Amino acid sequence: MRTPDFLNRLDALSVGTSQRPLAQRIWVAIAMVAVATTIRCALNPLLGNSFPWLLFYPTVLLSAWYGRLLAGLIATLLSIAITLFLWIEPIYSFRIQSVAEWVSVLTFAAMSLLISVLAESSHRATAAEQAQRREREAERRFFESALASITDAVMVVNKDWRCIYMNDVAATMGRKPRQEMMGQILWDIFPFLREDEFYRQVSRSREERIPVRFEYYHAPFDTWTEVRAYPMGESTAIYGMDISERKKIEADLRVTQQKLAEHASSLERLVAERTQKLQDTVAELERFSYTISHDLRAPLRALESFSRFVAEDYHDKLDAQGHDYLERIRGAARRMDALINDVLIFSQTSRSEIQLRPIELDRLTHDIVSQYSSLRESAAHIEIQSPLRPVLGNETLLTQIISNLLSNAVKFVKPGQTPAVKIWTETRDSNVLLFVRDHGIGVSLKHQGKMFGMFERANEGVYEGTGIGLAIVKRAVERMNGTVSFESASGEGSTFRVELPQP
Amino acid sequence: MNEELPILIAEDDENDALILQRALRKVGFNNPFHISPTGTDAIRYLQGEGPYADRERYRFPRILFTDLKMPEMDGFELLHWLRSNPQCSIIPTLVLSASQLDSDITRAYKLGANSYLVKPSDFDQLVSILRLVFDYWQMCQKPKVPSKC
Repeated sequence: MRTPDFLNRLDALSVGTSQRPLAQRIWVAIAMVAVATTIRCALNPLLGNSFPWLLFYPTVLLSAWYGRLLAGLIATLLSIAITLFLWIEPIYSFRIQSVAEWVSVLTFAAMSLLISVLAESSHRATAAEQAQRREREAERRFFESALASITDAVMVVNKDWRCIYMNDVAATMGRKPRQEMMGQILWDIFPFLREDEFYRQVSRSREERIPVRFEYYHAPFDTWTEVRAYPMGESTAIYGMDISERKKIEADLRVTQQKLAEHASSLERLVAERTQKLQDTVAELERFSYTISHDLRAPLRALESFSRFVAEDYHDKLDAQGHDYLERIRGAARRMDALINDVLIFSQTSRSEIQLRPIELDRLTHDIVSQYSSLRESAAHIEIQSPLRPVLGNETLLTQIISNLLSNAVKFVKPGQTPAVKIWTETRDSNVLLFVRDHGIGVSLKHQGKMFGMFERANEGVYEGTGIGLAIVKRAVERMNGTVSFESASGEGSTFRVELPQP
Repeated sequence: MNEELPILIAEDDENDALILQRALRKVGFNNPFHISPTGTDAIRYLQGEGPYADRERYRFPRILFTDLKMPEMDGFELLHWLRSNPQCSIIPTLVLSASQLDSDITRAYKLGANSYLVKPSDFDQLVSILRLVFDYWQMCQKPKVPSKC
């Protein structure tokens, strides 16, 4: 059955949260009036027309109690109508004849209205209180479930250190049923907490009424806990988070960092040691070079000079063979000296610190040709196809390269032949190719593979030389990040090609 | 050229000393020679000490040739000593060494050497170098030397 709209609105006016359906409340009011009417009719032989409202007061009271203001009003109106019709003179009419009757009706109406209003306000107070209680309850449940669901331990202790709240995690830590632990003194549940840092810190929080935070290590379980204590009125909230994992990682990290630092410092030490060793080696090499140049060459100078003095001073007393022997001594000494010199140059070429810068190859080559006595003396025809392209290199090394290649080129010719050498450059990509071509004796195929090795001499005994010149050339070119190669055929001369970067 | 004044040669290698003397004679130095086998001996000679007290016999030298590597006191120490004894440093000093190390050359000049010559292994080369020295020395004005310092 559909409830009339105005009743709904009237009801909404009175109650915020109606628990009973509106229609039910109206029907209950009507039914109660009907019951009261029936009982009153049954009492008619006993009472007559006296006490007409007798049963309708409780009816309104009960209706208002059950259905609040609306039901009270409906019961009141129905009661007045029925009483007027059945028990107030004239019977079977709604007319009111006397002032006494008016007083009677209005008194009932006023009392009933009062009852209904009181019922309504009482109901509202109860409803509001209930709502508030429900809200509080919901809130409590929410926080409790929130605290219960987090994985950290939460406890609240009162001023006597008695436990008034603990969440599941805290209960698990206590290892007893929660109900048993609630209300117990904290130190009875966790005796070990009393002995150390924990007690001091939490006491400080309580005494100074400040939040504290500390990390707590419990040796028996090998666990680390980050504890926070907050003053909460007379009580204290204690919050514990298991940070063992984090601590373990931190410790591991520290160990790793320490290992790394140790490793780094040992590496540094090693590098320093090696550097020192290397410096020592270099210094030793320096001393070695000095010894070679100074000490080993002194006897050679003596050999060369004194054999010469003998030849000069005792010229007449020696026969041709004597002079030949002396000449051989001098030749051997000179050769030994040249060897020592070339070995020194080779070692200097290998280890001296070099800087690469643009070099005017054209000027350098001309200088070398005009300055080197062995080139001048050979009366060679040296053709330089100027301008030679500049290269990125080192002047000392380039001087070694060019002078060695040139002296080879003018040296290895058939006896009686005038040496002819041609020098030119070409560019290829970002490199410069320097060519030195001679028309000398060339190199036979079987010697070509060893040409750049130390002490390799393709023409042993025929031509003077130490066999180090091309090794110096190769090393010098390599030090400047270049390459050297050659083409040759026996009897047809050789062409050396040095490839170096452009500046 | 003051032919009277000797040339002091600080050289521990007897052979090198003999070769040097012969080369010097060959290019025209007619001075007497004194060979000091150590730097210490050269200093004593310059100061006219001990056996060199007789300044008539051991006259203050006109020029000094010194090797670098010598026992007791080497060429560098001799140069250093000369430098810290200005009255002696009047003597022109030529280093004649087998070393071609840049460090040696630089150090010798820094210590006040007037020339640095590398001992060639070939006698002819030595002669041609010394000939240049002789010609140059001929042209130079010579300082007055003390009898000792």
